[in-house]
Amino acid sequence: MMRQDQNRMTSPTIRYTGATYAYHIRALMDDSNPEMIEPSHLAQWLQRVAEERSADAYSRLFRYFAPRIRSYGLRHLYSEAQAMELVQNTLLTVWQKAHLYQPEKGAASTWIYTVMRNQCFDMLRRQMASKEQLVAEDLWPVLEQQVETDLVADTGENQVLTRQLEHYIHRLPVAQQAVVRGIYLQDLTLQELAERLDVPLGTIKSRLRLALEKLREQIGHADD
Amino acid sequence: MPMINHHPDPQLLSAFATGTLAPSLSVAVSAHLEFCDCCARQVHQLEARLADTLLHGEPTGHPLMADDLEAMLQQILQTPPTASPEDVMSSRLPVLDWQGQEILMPRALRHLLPVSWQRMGKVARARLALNEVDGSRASLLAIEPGGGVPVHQHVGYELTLLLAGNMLDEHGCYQAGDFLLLQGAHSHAPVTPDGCLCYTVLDAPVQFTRGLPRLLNGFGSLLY
Repeated sequence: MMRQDQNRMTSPTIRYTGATYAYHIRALMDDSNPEMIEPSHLAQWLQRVAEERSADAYSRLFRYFAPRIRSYGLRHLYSEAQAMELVQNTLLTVWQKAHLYQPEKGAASTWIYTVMRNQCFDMLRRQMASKEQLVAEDLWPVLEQQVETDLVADTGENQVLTRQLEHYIHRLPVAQQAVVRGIYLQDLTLQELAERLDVPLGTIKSRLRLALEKLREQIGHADD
Repeated sequence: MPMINHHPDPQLLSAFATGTLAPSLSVAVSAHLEFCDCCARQVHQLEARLADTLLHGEPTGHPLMADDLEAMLQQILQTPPTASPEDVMSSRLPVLDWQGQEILMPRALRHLLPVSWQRMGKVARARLALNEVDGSRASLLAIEPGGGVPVHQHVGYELTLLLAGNMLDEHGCYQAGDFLLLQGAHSHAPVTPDGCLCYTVLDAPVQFTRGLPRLLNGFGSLLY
């Protein structure tokens, strides 16, 4: 007890442990960005990686997440080397598959968490050297072009059609994908989507128009 | 879509989201989510919360050497993005012929199929190659209309996920998507008026408790 009190006296900052303050300190320690890191920053960086292959945006994500993924790895795997392998596997996947992140579905860190959990699951299964074929992606589809179940009728034919359409949607720019998915799969209104993605209504409308033009063109070609 | 009445409990959903649930049970939860939007949303919320806890906390363990991190970052930035997204064909789910219908199999099973069936009366069983460390065994069961499993008792747990058809026991009626977990010394005698196809996990041999089927107790492993 005494010791704790002494500590408190010598380090007054211990009293300011509000969430906002903690975030601020963390951002400083990460050395990636002297400002506060907001969840929306993470999503923007991830989208810049997807759309422009931005090395700058990726480096910021990497510096923020790498130490945290390593902490998780140290708790779930058996060695420092494996924890580092988890960091590498997870963040390499983020670099290569950032275009599969769907901002309308959730926070960037949620997506990165699911990538990390799946990589960790597969690493643990590999260590057991079992011959079975179960892979994390089958249990928790994260990287595959996801088939939305919300509005899709449960007939096999419809599912196949939806998957084929997903293939085309997947080739649109990320921003347009988000609009198409939001409207046709999640049944959001244009206004709701504008609020969710935090962009003006006009932008949503023009993204939708561009996306539909492109889809019509591609599906037309496929039918030829 | 028919109403799903039997769901995994919150602890199971939570263990599934963290990746700590036994793989054979994770397969069942994952398959259930394909039928049940409500549980799928809960899992997504759990993942978002886990991401907040695990990826926004302070990193633990020894601080990373800045050089190691920097080297990994540079190495990843040199890696080209994967050019082609997963082929649409590969994301197509397998179907199983059952009573003249094509039943779309859950994603979680797709790398575990095809299977070979063993028949005993109106019940056919196909063991799935999920080698569990806890000794539990996963199978597909196909029961013909009017068939049933004689009254039996479970020593451990029995998980049943209905994939098609329906099933009744003294506790209720089950249809595609229903998730049923029985624990402990529990005896029941499921019957299936229209036949059913289900995924099951048993963690110990069943014991038949009545009549001639007791002869099977010696090799009750046929159902286990």
